Amino acid sequence: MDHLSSLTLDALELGHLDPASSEIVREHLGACPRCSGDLAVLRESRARFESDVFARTLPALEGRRSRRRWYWLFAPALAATAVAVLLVARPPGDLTVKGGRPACEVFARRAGRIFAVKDGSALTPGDEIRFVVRPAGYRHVLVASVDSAAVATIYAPYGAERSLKLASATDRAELPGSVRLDTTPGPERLYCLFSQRPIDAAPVLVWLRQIGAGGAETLRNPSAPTLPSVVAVSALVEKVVP
Amino acid sequence: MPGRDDLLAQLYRRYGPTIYARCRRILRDDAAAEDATQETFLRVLRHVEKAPDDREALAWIYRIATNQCLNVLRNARRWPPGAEEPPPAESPEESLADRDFVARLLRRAPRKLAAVAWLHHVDGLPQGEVAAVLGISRRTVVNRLADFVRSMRRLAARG
Repeated sequence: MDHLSSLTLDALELGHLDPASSEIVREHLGACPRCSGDLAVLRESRARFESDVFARTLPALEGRRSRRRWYWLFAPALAATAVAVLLVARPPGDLTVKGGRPACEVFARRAGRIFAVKDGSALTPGDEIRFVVRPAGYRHVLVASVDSAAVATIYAPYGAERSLKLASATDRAELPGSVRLDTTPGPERLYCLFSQRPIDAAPVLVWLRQIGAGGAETLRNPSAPTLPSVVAVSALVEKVVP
Repeated sequence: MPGRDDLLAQLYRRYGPTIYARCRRILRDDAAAEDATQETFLRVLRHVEKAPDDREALAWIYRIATNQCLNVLRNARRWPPGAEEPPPAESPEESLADRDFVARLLRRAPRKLAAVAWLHHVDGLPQGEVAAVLGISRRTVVNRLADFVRSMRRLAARG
């Protein structure tokens, strides 16, 4: 008597079998102790994962993926912008920056493809973007954007009222969540704002709307000084409708 | 409107149980299975993000998890007790019906034969499904299974 393969049992559990095949498999299971035993073991493992393993291992998995999947470039494309902004920013006096200046890098996903977003990159509505920061001694970060309609949005922590406290002031970290770009065409400037103390989102939004009110060319060439006690790194993306 | 997405958690919840069950079946060690599950999932993710399809994902899970776990066993030298036991000299082919026995023998099989032999003899996949899962031709599967039997005969001859 032929037995059911483990692949067939997995397909059954995942609901991949068509009704006729499922019926044949279930009939076999009703008559075959070995296969019904295999299915019981499979279900026990699946239940164990769902009740215990999933929640316990997800954070570590996210950390590993942060290091591996969203492979970071160290923002060379953002360097010019970063330097320009850093020069006008005044870091707090008690800050000892180790390992260089803070950096924020952006990755986008489109149709399953992941790519690094460089300063001036063209993105399309629906692209999902994520952020990774290298805090270089800063403990808080807020990621925000403003587009050519002067719409300002807090991207990370998404919609939050205050900045995010980083788990480490020195380690690179992928910020949780991704943001799907809307359909407003034209330039959009992304800002990563680093600070030693928490900052409120409200004044940031006001500041960004002032920048956005200057129109598309102002977004492409911002000249406004950054906020007090904040080091800002920014990058421009151009949203184009295919 | 911008929106948030936690695709990683969604996919881990969807495919994690299958991967974990697969790794646990091969490794027979809960902690090792958890590690192998994460490693396998991250690799499977590269494929399912490009072309999310549950049937295809299952084939990727089998291919990646099988190779991952067999490598773990080989590298960690953690094969179950009895792994050094040779096949019976008289009829090594008959012992292929014993899944546990084949599983123990795989440590001594050449690396490229192990996944094919496991999928066919331990998991019970027909040759065509083994070929589909591993992305090789059926002829290659047939040849590797024959090589595996010859390997067993040599082991039996050496005692």
